[in-house]
Amino acid sequence: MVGTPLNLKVLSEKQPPLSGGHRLCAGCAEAIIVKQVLLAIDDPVVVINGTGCLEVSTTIFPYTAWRVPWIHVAFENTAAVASGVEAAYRALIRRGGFPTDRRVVFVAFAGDGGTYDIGLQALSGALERGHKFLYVCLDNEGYMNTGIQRSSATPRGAWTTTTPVGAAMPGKPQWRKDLTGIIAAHRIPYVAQAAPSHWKDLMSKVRKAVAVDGPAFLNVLADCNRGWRHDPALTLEVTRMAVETCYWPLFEVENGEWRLNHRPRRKLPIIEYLKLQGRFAHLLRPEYQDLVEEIQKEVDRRWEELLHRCGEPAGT
Amino acid sequence: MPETIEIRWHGRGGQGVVTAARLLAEAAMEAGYFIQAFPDYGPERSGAPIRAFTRLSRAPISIHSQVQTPDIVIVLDDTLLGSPSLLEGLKPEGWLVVNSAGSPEQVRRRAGGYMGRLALLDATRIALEVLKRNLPNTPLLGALVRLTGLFSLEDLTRHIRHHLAAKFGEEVVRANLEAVRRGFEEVRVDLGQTPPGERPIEAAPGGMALPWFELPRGGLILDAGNAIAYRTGDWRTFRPVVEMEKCTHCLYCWLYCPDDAIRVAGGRFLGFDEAHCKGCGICASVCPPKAITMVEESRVMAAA
Repeated sequence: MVGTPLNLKVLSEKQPPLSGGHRLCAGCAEAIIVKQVLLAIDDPVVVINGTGCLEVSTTIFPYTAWRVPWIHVAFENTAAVASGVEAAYRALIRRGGFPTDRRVVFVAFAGDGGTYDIGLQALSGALERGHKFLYVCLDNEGYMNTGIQRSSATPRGAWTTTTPVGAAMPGKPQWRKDLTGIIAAHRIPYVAQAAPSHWKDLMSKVRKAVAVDGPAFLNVLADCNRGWRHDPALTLEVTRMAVETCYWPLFEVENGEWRLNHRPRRKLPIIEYLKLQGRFAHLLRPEYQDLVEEIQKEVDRRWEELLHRCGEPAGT
Repeated sequence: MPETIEIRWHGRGGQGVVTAARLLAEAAMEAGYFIQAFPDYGPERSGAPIRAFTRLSRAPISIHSQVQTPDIVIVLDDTLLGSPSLLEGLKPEGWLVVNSAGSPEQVRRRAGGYMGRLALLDATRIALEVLKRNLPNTPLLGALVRLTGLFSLEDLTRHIRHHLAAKFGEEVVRANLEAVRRGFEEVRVDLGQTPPGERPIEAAPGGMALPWFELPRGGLILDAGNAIAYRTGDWRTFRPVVEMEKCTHCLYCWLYCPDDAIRVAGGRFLGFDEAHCKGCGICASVCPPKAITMVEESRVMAAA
């Protein structure tokens, strides 16, 4: 893959696309992911941003933290806006006069609320039409911007303000939606799942995603220390544990071919991930032991299914 | 006391600023006042400085704006003392009430040489001793009642009991009432030397600098990356400190800093951008040789 070598000494010479002075929470993973995604791209970039923490906190009038062109319209239509921007770009080139010496890359960022739930229809349509852009879902597993409500990305057993823990409910009762699988079913050229703790993997995936001729989708686990209830300093440790317990496997689907990118040397029990976060604190109590076992079974089931799809040998 | 009294609260997300503004108003309402209490609504995040307002009056209140010329400014977190907009609009005969263990001289110096009426309370110590948590808001409510004489300590404790009993057990209620009582008793007053009749402290320029007709169409922001002018460094309660001899210049801190607050040149770590570092501590936790440690900001400030 051509481009600036994925070497920190070299990358640190580039100006980060997001300036300091934005107002995301201390320790927010979204800023880290945006930095990794955009530093991986050497071509000029236009960012399309759905409603959410990232949009709200980086563009408080009269300030913007973005050093690249940036557009926001609404919550539900990130992919539709990206389609329009990309189509306008192609139209300008067709009419002539628009510089073509460097191609322009379009990157959409939206949260899980804007992607799994509210923007899914617009995204599905844009993927089917085949617009050429990279859509990055910053999956923090809930509506964090509005105060930690559950989304279809919130995992089973997690506390949120709309799935409280008590006699009637053990946190969220449902399993999370398999969005990466749903996107893969659109048979677009490139779909992947990544985590900022594994930065080389994430940045390599961005390189592949912007090189394909068509839509690409990246689902990135975006730790929210405020909503997941842990010390902001632990953002990367929690993320790494999500990968090492196979809760958040790193894989890619390139032209329909599934590939596993990281196989933990020793698959850790899910409790190692759960116990780091206040949203799962109740699960450490004896009365929720059955639920923890159910969660472990579901993680194992999805992991085995993924191994099978990737043609990897089974076994934990 | 004037017919209307306006209070501005300064603190950080999570310290109970908004709750305190409301509790005071509700207790005043039961004592016969017309009231308002509301936070400064904005997309500020955890750890960011936040403001709330309480307005109390003997007559119906027709004004609905934020408090611009407060009679009382209350500061729940003394790391905010250097903030330029803290004393904005404070009336000459007004009070600055600070949660601090420091002396009046130290607090005045850190508040930019403030000379007016000052009240100090080590509310954090009271909260840690009585509530076992750093919730400085309840002791400060006790101090406020003492300072203003708006209503009696009994009025306040009755309301707080009523408010808390709905949610918490007797032990928590008692601890909070004890915190209020200690705030009432332990508040220290230092009158300073503001001559009567002096003009209020001038409002600092800021906010919407341009009139609407001079703004770019569509609210476009044309100055890319101008957020760099916005200092998020005052959100910090812990600051990173490096032992340079341990640093291997691996630049993981640079890679994982969410605020672009690691200064790097020629592939080498140079230091921290204190104007933007929010003190999250990620750099310290990802540093392979453990060259970075997080130190309490108030300790660094006290040493300076």
